[in-house]
Amino acid sequence: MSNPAPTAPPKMTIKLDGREIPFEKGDTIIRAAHKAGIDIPHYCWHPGLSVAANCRMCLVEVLPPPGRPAMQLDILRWDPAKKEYVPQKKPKLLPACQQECTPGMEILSESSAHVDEARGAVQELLLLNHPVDCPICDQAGECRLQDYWLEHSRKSKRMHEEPIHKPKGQVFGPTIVYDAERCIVCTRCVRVSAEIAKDPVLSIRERGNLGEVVVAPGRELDHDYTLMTEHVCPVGALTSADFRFKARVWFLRSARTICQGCATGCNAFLDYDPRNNTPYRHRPRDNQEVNKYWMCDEGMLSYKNATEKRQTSALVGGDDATLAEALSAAKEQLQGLRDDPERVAVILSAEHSVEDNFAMLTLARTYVGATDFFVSGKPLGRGDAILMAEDKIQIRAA
Amino acid sequence: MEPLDEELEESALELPSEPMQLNMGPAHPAMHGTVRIVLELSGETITKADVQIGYLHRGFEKMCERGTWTQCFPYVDRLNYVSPMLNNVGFALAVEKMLGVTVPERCQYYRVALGELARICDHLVCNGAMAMELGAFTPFLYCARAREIIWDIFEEETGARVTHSFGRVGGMARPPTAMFKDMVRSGLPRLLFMVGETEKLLLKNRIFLDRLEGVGRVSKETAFALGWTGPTLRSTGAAYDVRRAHPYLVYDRMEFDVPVGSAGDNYDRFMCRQEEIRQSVRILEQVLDQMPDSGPVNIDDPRIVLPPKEEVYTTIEGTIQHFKIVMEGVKVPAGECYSYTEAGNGELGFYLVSDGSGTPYRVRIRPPCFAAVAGLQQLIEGAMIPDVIPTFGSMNMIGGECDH
Repeated sequence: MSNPAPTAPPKMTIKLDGREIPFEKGDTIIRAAHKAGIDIPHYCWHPGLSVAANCRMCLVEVLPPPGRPAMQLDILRWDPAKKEYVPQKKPKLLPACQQECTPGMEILSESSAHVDEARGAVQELLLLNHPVDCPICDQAGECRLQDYWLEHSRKSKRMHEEPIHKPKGQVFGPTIVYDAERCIVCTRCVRVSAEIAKDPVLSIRERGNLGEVVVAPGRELDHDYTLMTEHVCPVGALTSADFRFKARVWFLRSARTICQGCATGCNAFLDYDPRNNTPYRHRPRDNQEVNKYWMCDEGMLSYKNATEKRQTSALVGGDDATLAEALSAAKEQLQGLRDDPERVAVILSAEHSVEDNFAMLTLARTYVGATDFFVSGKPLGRGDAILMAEDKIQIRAA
Repeated sequence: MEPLDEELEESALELPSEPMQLNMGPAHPAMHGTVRIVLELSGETITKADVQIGYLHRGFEKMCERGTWTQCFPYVDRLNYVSPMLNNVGFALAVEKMLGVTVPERCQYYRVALGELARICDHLVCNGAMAMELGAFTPFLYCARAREIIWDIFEEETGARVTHSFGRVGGMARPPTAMFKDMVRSGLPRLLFMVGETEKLLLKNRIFLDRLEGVGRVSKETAFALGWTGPTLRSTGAAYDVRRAHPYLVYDRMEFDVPVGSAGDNYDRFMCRQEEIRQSVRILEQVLDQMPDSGPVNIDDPRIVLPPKEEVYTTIEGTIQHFKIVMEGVKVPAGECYSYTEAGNGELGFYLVSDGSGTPYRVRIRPPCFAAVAGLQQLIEGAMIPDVIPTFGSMNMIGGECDH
């Protein structure tokens, strides 16, 4: 007897701008699109954080089910011919980050004029009080406000009153400097602190134009994931004290790397300037199996190990030497030890690869005749249940 | 000292002879371009000529692949540096063709006006220099004086006399000045007067005519086979002018004649250029009558055109627009195009490839004088050394565009 092959459940799909994309139960529209490689513009939504739906940039038009009327709003629209406002209707738009997919749902994003208008309006409002900071802002070149203005707004300023002024250059903690004027109050940093670092040290004060991020009274932003608040900031409001004013991002190139900080082995990008071959920062690289979207502060700052406190040339007796000189000096010193192996001890390193250590071991046994071997390493450090491993030796990452 | 009364066989006195090799250029005073022509002579007759170009090669096409589309304009200025405005307009039109945009009417007239002024400069320099190389220095100074009128206008309009870098994708760097039409209107009669004076000095001069008439003769078929365009082609009788055959900008609204020669010799090439100066003046007069005095010059698209400077300094929207265009460049849709215009020397073509980014993926130029110089060899082989000078002069080789 053979069991009939289990039939796969029918694939659930939605239609986005006429394109069928699959989704899993519980997916929101923006997540389904994100998985399919379609980017619905957004500020506050982040795949690794809870949904806030406050930026309204991801508004989409969801068509009503067949046979049902569309949800519509009464609006007044300016008629330039009549020179007055005339009553009109427009569809109620929904935030794609909050609306769950249902099978067969039809959504208009790029193809809806209403959506286009709404995104332009959101963009205009976000820039209403924004300072003219691009030339001195670290975010310039990778700023959503810049990208989306050109993609979705392209209108020049209509409000010419003095913008609202808020604190600039506020020191939130040892790693983060905050500029409230640039902030769009998307609450990503608040959510990173509460949800990822499990330390709800950030909060929002006031509303609308006056809204800004504040640190809890008596506290500093000093948990182990503070640089993630800067990383998720879609604009230049939170800046890293380490990276601030150091480089312009359009000069940087990215190389894929793995953080050397601990045994977790977070996937990262190393941003470096090819002109002077200097690394400037780490950025977490998405890997759902290891670090998801995140990295700890220690790891984020460990890029410095590539250039600082590092032996990059050979030494003989503490003086600079060429590799050939160092090798011949080593040969001279190690010669004749075979007769008296106790005079020498060989240290292997837990931070080297197995191959390196094996080569070292073979050399020491056959050429030097050593019998005493030691293994160096690093002591256990602080760990947590999020990403930081107590074992600080990266090579032992699973 | 060897004795002179040595007994010699008769045959030993016949010295072995080889043809004489003569290098003309690359830095010869009579070569108005950095080019070398290796001549093999039999007496004064040229039996073989080897035209070697490349002394002004700067890798312009490769340099364009480094910056943004807009940053190519200073490079194209320096292609045909005798008429940079025509290159500016030609390149701008090519990029606009890829973007699928058309500049406002006022800008189209403005481009035609500036282009025709540049064409007059080009012809004045070519003919003036040609006369000078034949010993007629005064006509050259007359031509230079006439060109000065145009350069003053350019200086007023663009701020630069020679390399203006005035073209922009989607428009021009600045709108016409309030004085533009008056300056051109008052300048043209003075210019025509000097062109007439130049001709009076030259066209009844026996020496000048003897060195031009019947020299460097080329047939219409050969000219076509060599890919010639512009005055060099038209001198053979073929009335091909891009402005007439494939009108761009507002050339279809202009009344002008396409002057042609009959013999395809140096004289015809000289006279074609002279007549084209007059036709350009004709076009300019029509442009001045038709060009609107107000209205936009640049297209209205923040993705392509920079915002006014005061907006950049005072509003975040202007700053962003400026930043995106300057730092990332105008995003030209992926694809390729060939766009061609009538430059001073003929059909100036730009073949562009875009990968959709703000930087050209490939820029290739079809310089008109490249084809002309390619035909030089067969024109001067069999001629005399002095014939090289006017023949080469009438090709109007411009190293900047030829060596690409």
